[in-house]
Amino acid sequence: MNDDRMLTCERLVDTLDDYLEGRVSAIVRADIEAHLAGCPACPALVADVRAIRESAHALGPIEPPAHAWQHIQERLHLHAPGRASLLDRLGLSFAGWRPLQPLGAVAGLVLVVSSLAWVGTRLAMSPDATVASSGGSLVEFQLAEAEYTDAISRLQEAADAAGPRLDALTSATLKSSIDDIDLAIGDAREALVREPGDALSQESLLEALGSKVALLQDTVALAGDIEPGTEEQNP
Amino acid sequence: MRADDLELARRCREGDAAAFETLYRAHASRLFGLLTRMTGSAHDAEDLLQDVFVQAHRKLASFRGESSLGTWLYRLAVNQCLDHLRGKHSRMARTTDSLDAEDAAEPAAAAPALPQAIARIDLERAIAQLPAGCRAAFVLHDVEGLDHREVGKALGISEGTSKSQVHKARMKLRGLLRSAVPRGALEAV
Repeated sequence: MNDDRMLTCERLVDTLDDYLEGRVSAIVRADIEAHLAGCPACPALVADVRAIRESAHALGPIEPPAHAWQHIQERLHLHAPGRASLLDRLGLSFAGWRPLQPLGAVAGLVLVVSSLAWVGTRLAMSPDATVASSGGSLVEFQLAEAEYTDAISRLQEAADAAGPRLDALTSATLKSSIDDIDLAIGDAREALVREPGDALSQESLLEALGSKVALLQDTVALAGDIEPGTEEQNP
Repeated sequence: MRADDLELARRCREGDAAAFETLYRAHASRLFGLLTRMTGSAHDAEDLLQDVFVQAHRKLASFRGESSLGTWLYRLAVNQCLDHLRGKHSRMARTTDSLDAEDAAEPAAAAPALPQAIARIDLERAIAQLPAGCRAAFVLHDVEGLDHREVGKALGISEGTSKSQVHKARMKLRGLLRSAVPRGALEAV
C-alpha cells in the first residue's frame, strides 16, 4: 500500500511521535507534510494523536477522598490516639469546653505528653527500631517509657479526682477502655521480659502507654466539660 | 530551593502536625492524580498516597533541600508506585508486548478524527485500560511532561524503550477512544 509515495503510511507511523514533538529534520518534516497532503488516512491519525497528547497534558490533579488524610493521621499518630474514637463512643464533644480550676494544673503536663508522643512515635518509626537492642535505641526506649509512666501516674491522680463528676455510663466506658489498654501494656511488658530488645514489643508498649495517656486526658477533660446540671444537653 | 520549604520541613521534623497537614494539602491532589493514572485504580492510588506520606514523614529527617519539597515528594510517589506495579505485575514489560501487532499497524481506512479536546472522563477511562508498562511511560511523558530521558531514568528503561512505550500507549488509546465514541458523534466532528 502506498508504495508509490516517497513516504509510506508505515514510515509515517514510525516517525509520528518525533514529528509531533519537533524532533525531525526539515527534510523529514517536508516529506511527512507532503504525504499528509495526499493520503486519505494519515491526517486523521495525526489529528488523533495530537488530540490525545494535548488532552493528556491538560489533565489536572485529582482530589483524594477526604478520609485519606484521616488515615494518614491515624497511621502516624498525628493526634492523640484513642481520643476521637472514645469521644465518638461516648457521643460527646469538646465544643464549649471550659476547664475547671483544678484541671488547669494538668495543662503543662498535657504539653509535655504531646511532645512525648512525638518522641515515642519517632522512636517506633526509626529505621533503627529493628535493631533496637543496640545501646542507643534501648536507652531512648527506656527514657520514653519512664516519661510515659510518670505522666500516667500524674494524670491518674487528676482523673481520680475528676471521676465523681462523670455519670455512671461514662465512667463505666472509660474504665472498660482503661482495662483494655492495661491488658495491652501487660502483654507488651511480658514480651519485653522475655526479649528486652524486641522492637515490635517496644513499639506496642509505647503505643499502649500513649493511648492510656490520651484516655486519661480525655477523662480529665470530660469531667471539665460535664458540669453539674449540664449532662442532659449532651446527646 | 525555597526557604518556606525548608521551614515547613523543619516544622514537620519537629512534630508539628499542622505543618504536616499543610504539606499534605499542598501536594496530595497532584500526587493522587499521578498515582491514580499510573496504577489505573483510585483504590490502589489511595493506599499508595497514604504510603507516600507515611514514608515522607519518616524520611523528612533526610530532606536536605537540594530540590523542592514537591519534587522530593514526587520522586517518593513515583518510586512507591513503581514498587507497587512491580509487585503486582512481576514482569511489567511483558504486559505491554501484546500491543505490538494490533496497534502499531498502518492506519485504518479514512475516518474522521477524534474531537480535538477529548472529554476528560473518556481519556481517564482509556488511560486506566492501558497495560501497566506503557501506561506508566505515557503518564510520565504525556501527562506529567517528563522527557524520554527522565521517563527512562524513572522507570529503569532506555530512552528508546520509553519512546516505544509512549507510542504504543498513544496507539492503544486511539483505538480505545474511537471505540468509546459513538460513530455518529465522530462523523459530526
